[in-house]
Amino acid sequence: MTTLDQIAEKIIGKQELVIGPLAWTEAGKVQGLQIDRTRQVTLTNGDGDPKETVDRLVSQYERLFGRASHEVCREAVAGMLVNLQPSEIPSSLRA
Amino acid sequence: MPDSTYEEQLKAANEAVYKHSLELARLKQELEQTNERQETLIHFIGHEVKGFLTKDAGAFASLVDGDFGELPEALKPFVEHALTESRNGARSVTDLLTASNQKKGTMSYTKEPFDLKALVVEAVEKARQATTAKGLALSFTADDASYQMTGDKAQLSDHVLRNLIDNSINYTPSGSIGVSLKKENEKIIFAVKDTGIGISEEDKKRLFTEGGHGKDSQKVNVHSTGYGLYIAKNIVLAHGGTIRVESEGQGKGSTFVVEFPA
Repeated sequence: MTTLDQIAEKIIGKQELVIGPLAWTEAGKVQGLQIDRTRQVTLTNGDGDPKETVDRLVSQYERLFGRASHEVCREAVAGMLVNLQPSEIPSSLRA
Repeated sequence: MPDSTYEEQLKAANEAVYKHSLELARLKQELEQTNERQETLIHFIGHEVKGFLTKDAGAFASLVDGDFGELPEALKPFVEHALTESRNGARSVTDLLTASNQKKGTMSYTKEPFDLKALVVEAVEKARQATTAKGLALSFTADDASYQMTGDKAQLSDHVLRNLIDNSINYTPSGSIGVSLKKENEKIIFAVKDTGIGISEEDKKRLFTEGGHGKDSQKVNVHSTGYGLYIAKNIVLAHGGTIRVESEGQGKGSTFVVEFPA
């Protein structure tokens, strides 16, 4: 499981605390993001950049629930971003 | 096709609901943390109180046993009463601590082979003095089968066998208590049947829940914490068993039945 996979999973988990199982339903609609039966998340963006998949996940929530949901995503993974190089951080999660 | 104003209103409503949910999630987390801190504090206080009560009980027991010489007759009933009360208090606090451990999942069970029949006989004999003092008949029946089990002997003895027998004594003003042990359909069945105050259908539903008193149970037994049967149920479940109560209603006695896989 890559760090970006973990970040995506953490975001969905945090959104679940707020909106319930809908968080997984909405995440399942994001292109390049796969959720298995045990709710393990894998970013499968083919040749694309998995950072963009994380961005799409964040905007999927923001499109439905507004700016507050974007802040929830950022807060959820703030602790995980400190170990990443700036170039490795999805743009939606940058400060 | 909805117009853009409608869509905007819908989005605004969605966002508002999200913000409320976010606030609720934050409050829930805060509440959980507060509960956790409170539980830790209660646990600490419980241990402290239990320590004091146990020391008191030890001192009163020494006095009753004559370790410091014969007590004056006038003093004996007071000291005996104090001993009973401090033991009851220590037991109540122990119940609360045990229930708290079960809830937190920090309860540990030892696994050892033992003879359940011998354990039941011991529990019945320990109860004999109380039944005699109350004028109740106490009987025990069991067949010659083997009742070897593996499990936590001490927990089963204190919180299941003795708890059920003591409950029957507490809630039976007159008549009898029958303890039985039998094997049937690959199950070991332990039962305590009394001619006591019985249990209403309403009370049956909450009897094995945390803090689940019978409606009037504290009028009969002031020491009831409401945790005894909750603890018993958890211990029985941990041993792969089941526990239930049968009663035809108030004033018609009760039978508590515990079944373990044989």
